[in-house]
Amino acid sequence: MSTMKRAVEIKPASLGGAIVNNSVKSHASDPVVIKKAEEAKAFFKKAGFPKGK
Amino acid sequence: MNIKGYNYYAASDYKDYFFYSDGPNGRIKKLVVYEKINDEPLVYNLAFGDEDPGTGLLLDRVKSSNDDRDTILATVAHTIGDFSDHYNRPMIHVVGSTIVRTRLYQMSISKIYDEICAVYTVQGYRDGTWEFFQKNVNYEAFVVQKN
Repeated sequence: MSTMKRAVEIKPASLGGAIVNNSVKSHASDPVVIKKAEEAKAFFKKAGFPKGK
Repeated sequence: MNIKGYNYYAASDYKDYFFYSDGPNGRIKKLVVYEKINDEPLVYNLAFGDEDPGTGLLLDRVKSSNDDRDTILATVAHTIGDFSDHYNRPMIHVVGSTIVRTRLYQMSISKIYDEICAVYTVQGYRDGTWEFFQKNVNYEAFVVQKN
C-alpha cells in the first residue's frame, strides 16, 4: 500500500515565507470576498473593535 | 518556534495567497485573501477557502476532507505574518463560514497558541465582549494582530 508524502515544510512562524508569484490573481472583486468583508463590517458595527495590542 | 505548513505563494501586493492541500482527496488549491474593512483602527478581513477550478473564484463553504486541517490552518497563519509585515501590522478579523468552522479554527489556534502567542496577539469575541484568547473557550470571532 503506497503512502502519500505531503509537501510539508517547517517555517519560522514569525517570518512568514511567501514566495511571490505573478500567477497569483487578485480576488478583490470576488463575490465571496466582498460578501465576507461586508459581513465583517456589519459584525464590527455590532461588536465594536477590540483594543489593539 | 516552528509550525508546519505548506509552501505558499503571494501576489506582489501580498494581499492574495494560494497554496495546495495534498491528501486523500487529491491536490486542492486554497486561497487566502485580505480585504480592508476599516481605517481607524486598521482592520482587514481574512477570507479563506478553495478555488473553484472552473471559475477561479473563492468557495468558502466547500468541505475538502483532505485530512490536513492543521497544516492548512498553519499555512494560513503564516500568510498572516507576511501580510502583517507589509501592511503595518493591522488587526485581522478571522471567522469561519459556519459556527462549526469557527470552532475548528478555535481548536487549531489552541493547538499552536503556545507557538504563536509570542508573535501574535489573539483576541476572541464572546458574550458581547472582546477578550484575550483562552484555550477551551468558544468564541464567535477572532482578531489576530502581529506584535
